[in-house]
Amino acid sequence: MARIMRFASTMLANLFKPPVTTKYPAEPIDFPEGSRGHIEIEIDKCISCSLCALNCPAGAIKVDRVKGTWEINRMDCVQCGYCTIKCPKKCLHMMPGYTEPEKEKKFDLFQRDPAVMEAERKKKAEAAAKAAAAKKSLAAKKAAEAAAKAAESPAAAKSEPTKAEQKPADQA
Amino acid sequence: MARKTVVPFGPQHPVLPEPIHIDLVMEDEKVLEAVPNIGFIHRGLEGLADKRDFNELLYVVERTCGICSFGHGNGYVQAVEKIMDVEIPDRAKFLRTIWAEIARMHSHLLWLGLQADQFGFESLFYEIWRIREKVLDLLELTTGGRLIFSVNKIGGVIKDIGDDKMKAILTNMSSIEKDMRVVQKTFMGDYSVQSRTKGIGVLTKDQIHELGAVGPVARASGISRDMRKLGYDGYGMIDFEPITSVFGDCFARIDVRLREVFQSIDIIRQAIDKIPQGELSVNVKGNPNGEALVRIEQPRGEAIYYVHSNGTKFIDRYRNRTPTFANLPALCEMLKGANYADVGMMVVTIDPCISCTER
Amino acid sequence: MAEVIEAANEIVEVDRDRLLETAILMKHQGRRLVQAQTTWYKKSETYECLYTFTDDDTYDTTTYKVILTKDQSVPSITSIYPYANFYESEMTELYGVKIEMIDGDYHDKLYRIKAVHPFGPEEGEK
Repeated sequence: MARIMRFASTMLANLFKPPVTTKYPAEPIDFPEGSRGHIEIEIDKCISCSLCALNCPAGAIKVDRVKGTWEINRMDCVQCGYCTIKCPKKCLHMMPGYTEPEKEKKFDLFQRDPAVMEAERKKKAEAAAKAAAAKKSLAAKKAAEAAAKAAESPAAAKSEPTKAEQKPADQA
Repeated sequence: MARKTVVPFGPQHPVLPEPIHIDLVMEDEKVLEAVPNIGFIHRGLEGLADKRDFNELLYVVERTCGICSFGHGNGYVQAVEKIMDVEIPDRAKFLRTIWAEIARMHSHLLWLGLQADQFGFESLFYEIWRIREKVLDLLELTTGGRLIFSVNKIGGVIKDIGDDKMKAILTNMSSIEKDMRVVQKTFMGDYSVQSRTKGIGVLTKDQIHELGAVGPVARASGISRDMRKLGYDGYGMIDFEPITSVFGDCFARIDVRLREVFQSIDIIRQAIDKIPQGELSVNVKGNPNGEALVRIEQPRGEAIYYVHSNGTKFIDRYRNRTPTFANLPALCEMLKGANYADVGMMVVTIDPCISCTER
Repeated sequence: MAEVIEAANEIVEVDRDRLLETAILMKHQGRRLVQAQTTWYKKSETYECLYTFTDDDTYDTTTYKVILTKDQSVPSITSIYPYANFYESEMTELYGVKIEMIDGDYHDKLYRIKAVHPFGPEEGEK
């Protein structure tokens, strides 16, 4: 049965209720846990692998391996959270709190600690040197084996030792 | 014989939340013919398919539209999973069902508010959007996003809903149901709503079949067609019947969508009751190779997702036919012979989502 | 326990001469045109047009695929399914497929965009 003013009781009740809206800038917003607002980085854990930059659907992240910087364009970021999944060190986090509107595009630049980077570089160089040394010793071992073989069979003695000697020289 | 005039309707119009342009050929106050034009927010998202790898493309696909976002992600992920022959865990299926239904509620409540606003019932509009705010808060609580959730991934979901959050969903559902009963009484019983919507924009069952309309527009005319019956996600394990009405007018479409909100509440309760414990996702290795066509039921109706891949990281073709595109012929037919004052009403009743339509 | 409809969903290739015949057969079976679409594949230099038909009672879906070269044209199915003109207009406007005799043709004016055939083999401007 159709009736006029069906909604009148609700409207009247609403007159005496407090508003459901909050006074936003005066009162802070209560974000639930896990709200996707913006990306934060623990720059100390970052290893500049640039997987986040490669996999960003919006292309908002830039990583410079040499300088050790991590840069995000806050306006381009679409808060999908794919970089937080892809990060091997889990140093990217999705935090509550949205990007505020601004007149121009906002970039946030993070610089890794130069001392850490220097240490890493040294470590890398050491590892490389170690690897080279390991290779060298392996080659030497092979050469020795070949020499031993050559001693057993005099026919092949001419060609094989020379090859083994050349190898480490090439790699160095 | 009166003179014929062409009245442009849109892309900027008070009743339109999104831009569509319709040329109305008018004779006095009657519409003789309606010719729609789209393309104002065409972004070419389908063309991005060969520039993003298939995992990244999911985030692009989800951002086609803010309202059907979960549906798009779900459809795309299902198509890729079908190609790669991946069976996702049961818990992930049920989680997808719960999120899809909350998203359906949010879409229908948005539409009901716009519809109330369209015929000038401002206070009802505010009341409905107040209820919708609770739904949005629930979505932010469970997924982290209010409109775009990004919780799907190929092979499952990335987030779980804990027991306390499930409880929060259930308590919120009860309060939403209570509030919606008041809204339903108003919509169904109010004199002014009835005089504005009854007998307007009638499409019969045969006409709907001839025009290929989908979703609530088709169900309002008595066609019991719902893609959820295909049993994708967790819908195969849930009891529900498609909601239909027989009148096929604007009032019937409001009725169908109102009852679908209650149906969604019921499905969410069943899903939370039946959800099993277990893994959230399975590991997927390799790249998709092949093609698949998936149909899912979005809030606005049946949507098609077609993925054609070639075994590399980049898929060849991603196609998405959205429900609004299929409902455009029905809208044109509906507008023929209508009064100019009712045009806005009819355009809103098909629930136009133009950014989906143009992609 | 809820019942689940087990529906067929297959993709079948047809020759372009047999497209109209297929569409008429589908119409006689009371099927609905779900969608029509096309794609330009750069690698094989072909268009693939897909026409999907579904039975609304059994939910059975069949997709017919027509493969065309760049210069071949395909007959319009608007004489059988009048509402296909939206899909076919989209195909010609965005991809540049040649479709013969579209009933209710939009002549490149359905999409109000600047580019002509943006996803086709040759892009241009209006």
